[in-house]
Amino acid sequence: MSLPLSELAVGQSGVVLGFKYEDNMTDRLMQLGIIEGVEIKVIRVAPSGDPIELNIAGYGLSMRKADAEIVLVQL
Amino acid sequence: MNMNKNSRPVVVTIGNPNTGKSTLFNTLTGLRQQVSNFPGVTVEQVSGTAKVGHTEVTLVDVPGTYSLTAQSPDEIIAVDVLEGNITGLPRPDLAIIVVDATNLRRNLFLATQVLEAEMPVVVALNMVDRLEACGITINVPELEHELGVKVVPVSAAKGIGIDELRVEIESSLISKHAPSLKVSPKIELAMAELVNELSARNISINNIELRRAFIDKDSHADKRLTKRYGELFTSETLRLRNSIGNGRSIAAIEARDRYSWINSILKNIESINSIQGSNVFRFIDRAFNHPLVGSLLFILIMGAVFQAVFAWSGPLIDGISDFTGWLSERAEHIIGPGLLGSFVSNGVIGGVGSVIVFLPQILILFAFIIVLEDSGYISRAAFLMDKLMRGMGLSGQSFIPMLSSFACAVPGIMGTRIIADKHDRLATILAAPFMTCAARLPVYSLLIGAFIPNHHIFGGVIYLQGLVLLGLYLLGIIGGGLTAWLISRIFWNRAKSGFLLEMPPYRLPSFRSVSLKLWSRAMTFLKRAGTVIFIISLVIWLLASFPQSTQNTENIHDHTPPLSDSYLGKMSRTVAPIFTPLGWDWKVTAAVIASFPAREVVIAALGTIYALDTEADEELTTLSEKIQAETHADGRPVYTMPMVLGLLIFYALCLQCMATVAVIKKETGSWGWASFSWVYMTGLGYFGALIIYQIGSSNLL
Ligand SMILES: Nc1nc2c(ncn2[C@@H]2O[C@H](COP(=O)(O)OP(=O)(O)O)[C@@H](O)[C@H]2O)c(=O)[nH]1
Ligand SMILES: [Mg+2]
Repeated sequence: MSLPLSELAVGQSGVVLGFKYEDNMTDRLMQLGIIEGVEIKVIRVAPSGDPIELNIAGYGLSMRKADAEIVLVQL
Repeated sequence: MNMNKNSRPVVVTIGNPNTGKSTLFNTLTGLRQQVSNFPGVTVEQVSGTAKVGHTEVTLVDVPGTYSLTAQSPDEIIAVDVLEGNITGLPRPDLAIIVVDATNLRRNLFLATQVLEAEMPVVVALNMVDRLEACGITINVPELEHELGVKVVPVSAAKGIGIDELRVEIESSLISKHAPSLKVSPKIELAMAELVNELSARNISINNIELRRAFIDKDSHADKRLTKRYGELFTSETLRLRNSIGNGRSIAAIEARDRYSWINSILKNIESINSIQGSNVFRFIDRAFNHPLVGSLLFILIMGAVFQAVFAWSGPLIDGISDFTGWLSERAEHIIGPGLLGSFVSNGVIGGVGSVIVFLPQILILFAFIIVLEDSGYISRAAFLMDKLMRGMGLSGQSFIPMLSSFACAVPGIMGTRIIADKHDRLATILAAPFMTCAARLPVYSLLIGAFIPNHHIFGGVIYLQGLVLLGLYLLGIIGGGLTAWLISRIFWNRAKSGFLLEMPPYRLPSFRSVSLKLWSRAMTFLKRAGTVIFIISLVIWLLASFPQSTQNTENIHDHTPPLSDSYLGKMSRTVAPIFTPLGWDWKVTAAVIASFPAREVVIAALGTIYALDTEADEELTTLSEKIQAETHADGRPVYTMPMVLGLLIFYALCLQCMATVAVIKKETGSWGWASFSWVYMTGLGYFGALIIYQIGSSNLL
């Protein structure tokens, strides 16, 4: 099942399938290793609900939900 | 071969943020350059000299970047250094690619980009001391084979492998062997065609610059080459981008090709067994990340930082001002009265004293910030603050420059280079000078100490004086927040979102690293702010001591004019009417005007003004007593409560700092924003003081 990265719960992980659309932001995300086939785990959500912290194949990165929404993952 | 005037080879350390480039730079040069556990703390290129074997090289440390597709100003610097586009710095003869061995996959992205730059390269595989704890093993010979360059396992922090690295640097400089790695056949084909087409038109561009311009549409390199070659260049790149892109950006093609190449080689190179952090750090991590506990800890840490800044700096500040006071008295005594004595004691010693009196607060706050950075906590703080900062139109990344601005806006504004979004960065720059910097505090303490009664209120738990101080801090924060919000409203641009921040692992800060950084920041502050403050103090002394009168003096050695006849007095009396509605007399006006270049000078200026004021009562010794006794010509006290509150608000809001104006000009690249900021803040200060004084003095209250 494919769903936006922003909808994963804390502790869940998914494999990147692609992006809703591509632009400068997704170029940046790809350079940071968020790219097809990579496993991403949601480590935590900030107390205010946003941003979220992810583990991208071994390192920690935080991003906003609005950006995570573009990334499509498979559970 | 190279154009360096000392004809020393130039070697650059390049890598992702937080991989130990600055630590390696320090180890190789022995020079003090700050290192930090916060992504992107080196915001300028820094160079030093290192000895490798028998060769002396110029080593350049650049800000970290994840990709040669540079977006934020600090990343652009890194790429410009590599391309040889920094004036005064030739194109490097060799690049040391610093790679974090515990995060090979992402680090190899930038590494392979640099490997395609057609320049000699050595890879420093750093942090190998942590490999075991992370459960990672790396097949180094295989990695060397795939990359086609020497890979030296090192630990910059522990000093492991440094000699081997030196040997490889020297031999690569001699052999000048450049790797020939190419990971994207599609892009290589287009590049070959592009080079051909351009050379047919007699255009030759160094490979790395052309490559980045082609791949990164609208990047710094693309714009530069477009500007230089115009139509000739753009028509070819556009055609080739369309022909291989099929609607996708070339950067996306690059990223996919690069990562699939990296994944294919890593299968035989890296094996990861178990990812197990140390128990202590895991516990800390859990506590800091608990929504409630983590937020409470954040408030507690920030509270403790500011409490310590006050409690610890107080005695030091008193000590320094007592000492400089004593020193200037001694100097005047030894040299004797007259121009020279006054010059040394009031001008030189007073000037130097007014600079170093800030050091305690700045150093203590910097020390805390450095520890927070090195431990990795500051990224978590930025994570927690993102939502709140977004309310002001900023992002979590703005939190760190803002925090530094509580010490001094100059390093704070320089620190905004880590912010990629242009408007976020501008908003942060314009908001930063509102934060209560160390230079405002002496003014606050003098006025609050002298005029705000030290009452306990709310049943004795809260001091009125403390409450006023807190109010001034909040005024600064609110002023900055509203300013940022306004700026982001004007440049409403929500297509971009500005928060992508690496969360580095927690690390125990080392004493050596913290003290080296503290030293380097203190020096930067002294150089940038100190020279300005010192010169201003001298100028004030000159304006207050001249013109020398030749008659009408009781003492033949003392030609000092009465203050009101000095240049300073004359100037102030001319403009004083503007400030009369604020309740100021010409002496206050003189002190405030004198402190426009550097606000802290007001203390020295008031000191000079009331000390040189020959009519002043000899019985009153401290500045605080003197200003309490000041009256207008008609006998009304000058420093009434509404006037003092207005003056405090004026100092909270006004941009009286030449160093800050200069750094805003430097960082925004325009005098426009620097002047805007000055006019805007000075206007706020003036009207704030005006309103408070007028309401307070009217019969409404
Ligand atoms: N364990 C370990 N830590 C290191 C090593 N090199 C650097 N560090 C730490 O990594 C952090 C980032 O270092 P820094 O030199 O500022 O990285 P830069 O951003 O690449 O310049 C600091 O806390 C250093 O103390 C190393 O070889 N081993
Ligand atoms: Mg650095």
